[in-house]
Amino acid sequence: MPAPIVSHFKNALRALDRFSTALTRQEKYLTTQKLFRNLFYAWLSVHTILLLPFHREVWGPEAFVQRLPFDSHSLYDWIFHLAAHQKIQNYYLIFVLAQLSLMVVAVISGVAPRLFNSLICAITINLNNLTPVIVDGGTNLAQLILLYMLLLNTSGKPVRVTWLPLRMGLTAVSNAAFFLCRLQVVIVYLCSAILKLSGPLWQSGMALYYIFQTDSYTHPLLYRLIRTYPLLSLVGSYFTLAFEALFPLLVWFRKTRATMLLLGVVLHLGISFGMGLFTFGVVMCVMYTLFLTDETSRGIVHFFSLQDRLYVIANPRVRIQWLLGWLKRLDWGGALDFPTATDVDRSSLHSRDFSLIAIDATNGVMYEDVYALWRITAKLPVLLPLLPVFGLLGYVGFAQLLYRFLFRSSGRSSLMTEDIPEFNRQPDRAPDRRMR
Amino acid sequence: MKAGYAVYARTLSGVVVVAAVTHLLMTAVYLSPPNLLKKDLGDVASWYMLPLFRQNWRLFGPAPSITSTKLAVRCNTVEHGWSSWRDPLETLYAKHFYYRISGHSKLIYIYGQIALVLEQEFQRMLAECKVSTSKGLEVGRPQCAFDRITVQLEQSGTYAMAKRYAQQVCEGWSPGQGSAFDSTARIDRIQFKLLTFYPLQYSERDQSGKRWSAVKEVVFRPVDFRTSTVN
Repeated sequence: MPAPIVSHFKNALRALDRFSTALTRQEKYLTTQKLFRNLFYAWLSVHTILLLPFHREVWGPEAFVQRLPFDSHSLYDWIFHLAAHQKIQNYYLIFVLAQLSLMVVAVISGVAPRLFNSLICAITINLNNLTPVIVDGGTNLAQLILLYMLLLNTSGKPVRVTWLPLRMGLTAVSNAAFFLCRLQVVIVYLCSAILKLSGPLWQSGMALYYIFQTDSYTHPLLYRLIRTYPLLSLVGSYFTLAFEALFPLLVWFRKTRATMLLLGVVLHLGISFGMGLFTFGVVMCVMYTLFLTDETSRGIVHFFSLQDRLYVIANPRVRIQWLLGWLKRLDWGGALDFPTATDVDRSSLHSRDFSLIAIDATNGVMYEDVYALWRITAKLPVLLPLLPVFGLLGYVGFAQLLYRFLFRSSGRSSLMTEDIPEFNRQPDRAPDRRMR
Repeated sequence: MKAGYAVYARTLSGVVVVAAVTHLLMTAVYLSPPNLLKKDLGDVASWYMLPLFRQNWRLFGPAPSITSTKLAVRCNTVEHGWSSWRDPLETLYAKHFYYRISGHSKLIYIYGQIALVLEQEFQRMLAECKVSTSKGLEVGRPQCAFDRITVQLEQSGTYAMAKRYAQQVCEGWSPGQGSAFDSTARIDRIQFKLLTFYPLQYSERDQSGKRWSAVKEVVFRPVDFRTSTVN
């Protein structure tokens, strides 16, 4: 009978083998990594574009910024501080435009992701080093994530290398980098919470009362609010403390992750618009993408994908045709389809009580009325900013009321197939099994 | 062959895990407050982390900045004499409050930094002055008087940047946009001062006419506009 230590050692070896197989052969977050990269580059583009009107004052050689001089003996400077070189500093716009162009090409084409990530990383750090004063917490975190992305597989597909040892190596490094990205976000909150907890103003709940009086981090409305209702400072300060302290722990558990991410979005949108730190608040929300499962990421990509079409059918008995006209005009990406009888199972619509229906062409899921409108909004890029408003109205039940008020004359109307002219032109066919 | 790959996978996993753990350890030591581990590994952690992995997660903690520091400028023209003191960033702030999704907040960082760094430099010099003089000296003593400190500060690069900023403001430039200042007037001298605004204490919140609890001024000597010499 072998000693227990032998069986324990064998178990440990098996666990190590399972771990090493998972690390070196499995890529469980391919869609999440790609989605994160696209959203991150979208944020970085917005961040740069917002500064373009003031490019001379931000990156120009005469900007009111204290810069470290270029050190020709430093390899770091040759790669990440090249924009400060005396002969190049007047051509800073090349770096800006190169960064924007590379990001657009990287997201649209998806080719050579590691090469594009490297170039974007180098250029972005160059621009940050030109104006270190504007590198706030969000930009600092973005810079670190850019470095981790050098090791990350953001192509959305498994590593495509034929030589197995190299493929295993790249997979292991990518998985480790992804984990480091998540940990980096957790470190931000952990450090911030620990530092805040040792501050008297945060302990007493008065931090926000004083912060919202500084011109740089407030808004006149917010200032009046905090001065009139100082209790809000207590609530806000303790909420911030609790969130930052609990996030590093609760984000790892499936049951609490969604709640923590949602609370984080609320907090950071408050920071974006309340305190005026727009890019910081938004980049933290983008970082939350790292904590999504691949299944959720795939769902998000599918929800917003212009390639996955949506069939839209309006009941001609309801006054909604004018809306269809507008939807056709706004459908620049061609994501909507206004179907004929060949596309739709007539039997599923026969005598159905509805005004507007949207059917997902990929999985046949059917959305009715206000939910159809919500699904259509997600497919039209120009209407995307309305989606959060729509979601909020729907959550409180106001969207349904508003929809009925706008699009219903007298309750719901039944649709008979004779009402759809296209159905009448086609002979009887077997139901299309793609649609439910 | 399979056994070989298994060994390779274990070795590779070990190397990757050790590298990741090392990186995390260096990050933790770099970010930690002074402690025994930082005493031993602090230099190694700094060497590893800087400059690529530089990070600072204060984010308004532990003591958030609660004062507003600004640089006010006034210009002396041949025609009209001294103008009133004005904040060159007033319009920028108004735009920042109106357009939340804009680059104005970053511009405020850039220009606000001029006053902030100047004030920090001033405070540092004042603190050094107090330390270097003998114990028991109060603030009002001549050696550490504000005007003596400001004269010393005129040699610094921070002051030079503030002076350049004030000169451009007097020439008609305004941060982030054009200016309504009369750029045809002949500027004779310029002057700027640091203003530090302290927020209302909780006990003062009901005083309706009051915006700030206190305002501290540090006035610099006027500067001749053309030659940039101090008067």
